[in-house]
Amino acid sequence: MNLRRSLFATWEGTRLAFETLLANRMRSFLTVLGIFIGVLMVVAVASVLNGFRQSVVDQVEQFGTNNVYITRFPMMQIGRRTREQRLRRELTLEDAWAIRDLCPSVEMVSPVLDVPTFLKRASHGKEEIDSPILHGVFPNEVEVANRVVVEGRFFSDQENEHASPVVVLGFKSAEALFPSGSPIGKQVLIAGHEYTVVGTLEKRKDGPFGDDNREDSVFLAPFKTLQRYYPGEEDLFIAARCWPEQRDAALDEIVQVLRYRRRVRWNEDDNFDVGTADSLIASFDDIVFAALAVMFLLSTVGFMVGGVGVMNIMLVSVRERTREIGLRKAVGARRRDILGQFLIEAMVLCTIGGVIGLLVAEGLLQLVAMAMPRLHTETPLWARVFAFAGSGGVGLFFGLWPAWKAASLDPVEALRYE
Amino acid sequence: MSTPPVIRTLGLTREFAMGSTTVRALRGVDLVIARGEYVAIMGPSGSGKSTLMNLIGCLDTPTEGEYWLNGQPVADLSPDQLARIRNREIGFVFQSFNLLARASALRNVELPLIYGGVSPKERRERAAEALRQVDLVDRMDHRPNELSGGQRQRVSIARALVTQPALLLADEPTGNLDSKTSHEIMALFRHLSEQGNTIVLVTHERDIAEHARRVVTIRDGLVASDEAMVAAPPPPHAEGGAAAAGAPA
Repeated sequence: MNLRRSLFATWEGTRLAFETLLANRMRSFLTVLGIFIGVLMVVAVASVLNGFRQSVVDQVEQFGTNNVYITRFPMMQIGRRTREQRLRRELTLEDAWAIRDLCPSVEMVSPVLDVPTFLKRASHGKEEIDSPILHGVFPNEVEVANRVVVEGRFFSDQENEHASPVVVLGFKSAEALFPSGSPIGKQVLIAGHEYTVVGTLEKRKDGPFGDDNREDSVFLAPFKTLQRYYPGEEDLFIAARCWPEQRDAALDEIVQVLRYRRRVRWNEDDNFDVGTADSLIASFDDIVFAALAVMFLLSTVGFMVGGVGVMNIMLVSVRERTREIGLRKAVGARRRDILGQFLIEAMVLCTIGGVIGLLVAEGLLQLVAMAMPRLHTETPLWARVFAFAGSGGVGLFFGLWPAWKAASLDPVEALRYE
Repeated sequence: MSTPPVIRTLGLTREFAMGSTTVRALRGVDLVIARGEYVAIMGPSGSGKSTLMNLIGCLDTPTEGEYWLNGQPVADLSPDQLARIRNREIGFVFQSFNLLARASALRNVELPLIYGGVSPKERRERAAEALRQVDLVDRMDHRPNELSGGQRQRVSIARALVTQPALLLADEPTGNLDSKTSHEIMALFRHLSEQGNTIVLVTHERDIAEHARRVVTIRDGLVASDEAMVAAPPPPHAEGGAAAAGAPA
């Protein structure tokens, strides 16, 4: 009986709230503008960031989730390198082989020699690429980095051992240098050396803003060929493929081996960086999280402004409807009925603002998606929940005082109020 | 089993603090109103009749004294308990109607039933029945601003009747109406009284008070006189009004 009564009163309050809102459309709209903007911001930024993160995750995971990457400098770093970092020794081929031989959890190792080609070019006939990305790799790079050959083949161990001048082209590199016709068997000139194309690679996933994936613009040549052409270059990037389920063990082993080889004292930090797909995503998530936190803070300002506006308008509403409150009390409304009625009204007001903000945000994202089809956006569920619950919560919080004032009115005086 | 009187008060006193002084609006009112009575409470402004009405209507609690409404002591109840009593036992009719402007006549009449926890379907039926009693079924979906003054007051009477209260409490119900409409409304009250409703009418107009069967006059916070009107036959003009309303439509 009592529950039924509360249910009827709640329904009545909701109905009344909508009627009041419709009767004061402009006023209601202006009142919830702050909340509308707050939600719009949260949802839009969250969607873009979430899409951005998702494409980073996809890209990183495309290399394989069971890999450990070893670099001389931190993989993600904001700011300048420290003196200690600048003085670090290079990672050598011997380091790579030591990892292969001494770490039982590591299945295979792919050392990558990144040759500087800044301001040089790669060309075939009249087609040219500036500053091509030229990597020297071993044949097992195909497996370690999950590369897929679509045309021709990858180069062989023999070609590597004999330092043959052959090259495998990334998707973009092939497209740029060979706009028509197959590149297989053709010659390309990269930074003054001539190579024969033996294969091309499948397209990798697009970058976060729909930009090209850097990995599509590579030229992969045998490690030993590049060692011969660029004898001074020794700085390696090492990718290690671990046995299934043994990545964490491998991580420990690799760190131990490298600390020993690079003479790191027990009380010093590593003078190299190791990372996995997870750790790369995690450190990227730190950045995403920081951006979200800033945005939350900003949207809180919108919510506060909106909330104070709601409180103000609810106080006006309570005053305007003093006689109505008196009448309701006279015919049997209890304190909690009046309190509930005005709380519901404030919450409905704010929630509508929030939901409109959400809808407008999603609409805008659709428009943006139409204008920039490759921009990846995705509204996370929590952003929707936040739009709904957050705005309702603002209504609850800022509606409390006006509703309490209404509930506390004395029926005799409320009925007499002019 | 004898039915208790609808209203029984004993030494009802109400004081208001006005700054440093205390105003005694009521100074010990003893009043008994039996079931089915039709009583007018009269008095000039400032006599305390409004205060008495607020106490009788359970909108306010006395400073001192006892009050039994329909046999239940109500002088010391909490605001929420009083709200419950008002919902069940009392139907209010106000001078300025106090209808919700945005709601139809039907929804206005339904309002007390919402707070009484009555289901929507039953609410609708009972509200329609109450509107039928005041002869406004065909105006059920009209809003107050689409109704005349007399029709509005009839809607508010229907709202008072809809809970089938022990007491119908009307505060200057004709104060905002012209004399012709006033007579219609008074005829309606007489009709409701004849059907067995207990009615207390608060007014300062003698000719309105004379429609009742008993007139209690309040002066300076005390009962100054308590006179029975000629029960049968009723005053000729009231009879005429009742006859006019007795066969409405």
